[in-house]
Amino acid sequence: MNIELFKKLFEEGSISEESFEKVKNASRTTLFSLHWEVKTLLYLGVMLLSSGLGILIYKNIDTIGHQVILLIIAAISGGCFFYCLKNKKPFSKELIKSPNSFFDYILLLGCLSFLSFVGYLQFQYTVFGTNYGMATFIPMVALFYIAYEFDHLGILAMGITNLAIWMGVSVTPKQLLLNADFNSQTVIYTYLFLGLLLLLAAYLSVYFNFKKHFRFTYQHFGVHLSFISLLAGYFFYYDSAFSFLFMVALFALAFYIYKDAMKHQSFYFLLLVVIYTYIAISTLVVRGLFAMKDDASITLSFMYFIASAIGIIFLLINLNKKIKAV
Amino acid sequence: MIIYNNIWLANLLIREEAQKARKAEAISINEQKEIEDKHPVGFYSPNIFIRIGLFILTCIIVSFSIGLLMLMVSDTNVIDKWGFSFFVGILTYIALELMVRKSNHFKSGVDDALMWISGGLVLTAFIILQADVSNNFPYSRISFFLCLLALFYAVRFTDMLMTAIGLLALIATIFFVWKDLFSWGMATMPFLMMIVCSGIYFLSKRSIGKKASLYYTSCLYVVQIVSLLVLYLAGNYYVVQSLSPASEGIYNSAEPAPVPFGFFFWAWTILIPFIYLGLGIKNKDVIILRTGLILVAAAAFTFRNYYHLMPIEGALSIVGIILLGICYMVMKYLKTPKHGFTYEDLEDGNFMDKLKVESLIVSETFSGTQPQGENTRFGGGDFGGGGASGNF
Repeated sequence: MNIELFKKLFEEGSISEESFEKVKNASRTTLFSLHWEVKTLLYLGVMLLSSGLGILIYKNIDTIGHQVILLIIAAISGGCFFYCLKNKKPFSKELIKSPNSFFDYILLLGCLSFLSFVGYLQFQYTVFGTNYGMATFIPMVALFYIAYEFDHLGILAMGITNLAIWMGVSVTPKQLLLNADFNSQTVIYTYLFLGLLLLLAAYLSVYFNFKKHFRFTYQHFGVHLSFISLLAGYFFYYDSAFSFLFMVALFALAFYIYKDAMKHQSFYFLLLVVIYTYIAISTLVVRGLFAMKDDASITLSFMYFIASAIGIIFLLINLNKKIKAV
Repeated sequence: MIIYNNIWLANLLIREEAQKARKAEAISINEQKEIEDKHPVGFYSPNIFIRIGLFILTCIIVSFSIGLLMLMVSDTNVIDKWGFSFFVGILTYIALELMVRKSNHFKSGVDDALMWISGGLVLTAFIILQADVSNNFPYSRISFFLCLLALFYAVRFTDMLMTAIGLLALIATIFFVWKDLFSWGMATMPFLMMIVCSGIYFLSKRSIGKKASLYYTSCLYVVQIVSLLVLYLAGNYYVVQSLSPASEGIYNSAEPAPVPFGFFFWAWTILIPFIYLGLGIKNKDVIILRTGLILVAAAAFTFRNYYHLMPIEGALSIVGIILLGICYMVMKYLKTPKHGFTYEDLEDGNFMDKLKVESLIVSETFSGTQPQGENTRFGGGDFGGGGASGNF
């Protein structure tokens, strides 16, 4: 802290003498925090170790050593869970602060090696037979249980991803954008169902006051999934009147998320609602303009985008003020 | 030169200090409030989400406006002339100046977007102009122009990214000029780059905290990071070998020529990251410490590129275990703060925490690790060679 500045503030009378002394003390004993450095290293360590083990399995899957590897992985997983169980705090419906970051990442490592272990078992010995639903269902349930038991957001997100795998779709936003194969009805409906399910989970977490802080993670995945699948549904049925049903649903959802964002004062979800709704309205307007089959439709749609974007800017600025006032 | 209201900028710094003092529980909320009342800031700078939204929308507005303009003049054949992009670039710049001066936008997303678009358009105009003038592509002139342009924006709008681009363009200019100036230009390049970068680093290090550079503190941090990184890369064995004149022509061959003074460059490659780390810990300098951490990884990759001591999976697992071990020891050691170091997170409730970025990164990177996932539902895949059990 800048002592000169606070001296001036003190002379101006903005701060009391006692506070000035405190500032002087605080600036003398500033600590240097290695928090983020250690956290990044932990993350890297877990990532490297788990991918190293993954490749190890992959390469040795048909050699005699595979039972040894299986044992090693089971031992790592078991060791991690043992450490976590020993150090964990008792379960509570509220937020539990984890003992330290090392605990968090060891738990993560345990889960990852557990997943590898189950995958390996299924692949080599087909423990679950040809019932593949079961092979993904069990890890998913385990992940959700661990996430709630140890209060770990990262594992909750992994659980959500696994839920999606179990339902037959992949859910992280990156993969959503990369392999966007929305050309099948089932995929769209599964996405939509999953998205709404997650939104419901977010709502229920708050309603029952059960791990309230998990709301954000549920809501984040839910909002993206539902909006994207509604838009995809609209384009899938573009030629039939059925498509407008998706738009109506989208606006209804947008209204709900908007109210919710206002209630929780969340700028992030507010921005998402505005952007997704803007995309929806723009597709409708452009469709209308091009339906006129006029030469002017291109110019008109350009003008629409300029004007509407300016409008949305003012809307965002106003909403920003409004949400702060709530 | 700086476009913003200097008093407001100064008040902003005072407010930040007050915020820090408040977090350290040195001053009370009422005192913080009084300080803020006495030091008004009239900038419009919304939070990061609104900033992103405004950025996207401004990009939409500008690109459709340009499109509309192109539609209007599409018959006259001026679109591919340099004058057109220059004209549009200047128009965008004027809009930027107006937004900042009249509406007091300060890192609001609107000014960011206008800045990047206008800079990009003016640069495009210059490149078209240069391509018209001569046939060989004049790298040195373009990088020099880019350097001047980016530095102008950096100085006028105190922008961090523009600073980084300006500095990189400056280094590129020196590189191209030196390369063409002497026949032995490439041979001495690593040493020239080392001198230049260390010079820039020490210069920026000394200017922090001076009165003249008060509003450019964050820009100077960027200068430090970039110069430290380039300083390392200048002597990195792989970089030197790829650029050395001896391997020209046989660049793509399997056996690149060894570099003269190879020992020196190897020592540089391996030791510099650790020297950075040591300096960072000794001087409690976050920038050099974090740069060192990144460069340790770069050193490891360089080493592995030449010497394969063990298969990749073994290396990954062992490095992973070592990293976890180091972290465990550091956390144990710093359970109570020692020598002015602590493990505790001093900045509670920062942006990363609010968005739960950590959990999202975890799900983003680890969600692909369950091999059974895709194979089970969608069938087909020929996972893992010989072990396939016939069910797939």
